[in-house]
Amino acid sequence: MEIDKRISRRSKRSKWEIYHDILTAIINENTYGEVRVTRIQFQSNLSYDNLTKHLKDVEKKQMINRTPLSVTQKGFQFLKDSRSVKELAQKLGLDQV
Amino acid sequence: MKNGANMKNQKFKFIDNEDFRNHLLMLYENAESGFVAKVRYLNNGLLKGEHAVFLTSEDPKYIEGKIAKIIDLNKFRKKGLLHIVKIPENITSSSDALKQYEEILKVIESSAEKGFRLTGPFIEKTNTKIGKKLRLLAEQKSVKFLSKHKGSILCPHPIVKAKNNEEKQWMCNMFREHTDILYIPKSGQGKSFNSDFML
Repeated sequence: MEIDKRISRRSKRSKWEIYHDILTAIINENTYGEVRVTRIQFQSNLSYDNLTKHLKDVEKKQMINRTPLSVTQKGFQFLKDSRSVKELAQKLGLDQV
Repeated sequence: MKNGANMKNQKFKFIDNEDFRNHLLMLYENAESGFVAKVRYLNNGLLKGEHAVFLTSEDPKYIEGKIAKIIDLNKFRKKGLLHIVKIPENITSSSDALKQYEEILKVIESSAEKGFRLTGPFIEKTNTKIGKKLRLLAEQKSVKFLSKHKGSILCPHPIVKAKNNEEKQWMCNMFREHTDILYIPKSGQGKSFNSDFML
């Protein structure tokens, strides 16, 4: 039952939560040196295709640099603001687009 | 309310941030908090000698009285920096509405060399299709105007849950037309962030 709940929660992650998880994973991996995409995939709990899609999104939004994979200042700012962004998106009914 | 009490309120302190860009979308839950935030935003400009334009469909005298409860209006009255402009409550024709908005912007253009701050919104009622369309057109006019003039525009909008995809799309288009989001929740501190983050 508990596992089912967790699976269901994960499948309902909003894009802001996914961005948050990806950026956090990149920062965590950066502390150990080279950032491997497979490690980001594992930490953010996404399929390879989904991760690729979301990495493109956050790159387009200038939240990450691709070579080497790292979080930009704007990405750090997003992490700082993500709680309010998520809260506002929920109130506007945009969290499940 | 004691004159100036709201200016000390920490909830609105983030509005004093000088890092904002020029086209701000303020999303609020409580109309009174939204009003205080608008006045604080204008006051910051007035203190720098900028012209401040407050658009309202209500009686300007009534609005002036409300503003006077928050800031010391006498300081700016003599200098003629604060302008409370009455706008029509119900706008149905798109060409008339946009012409009126252009006229307001023209007046700003001719008198606000030192910079200006404007707060509206020019289109208040966005619960109809025409209202939504006009609001976006007015926002696009603002973007164009701001690209050529020194100043900023604060566009308030109440937080309302989108009922369908059309409303969600409209909200996303609103984010695209603005540079920063000012979020004023019912409780707790207000916050500002890059409008890109909402997309």
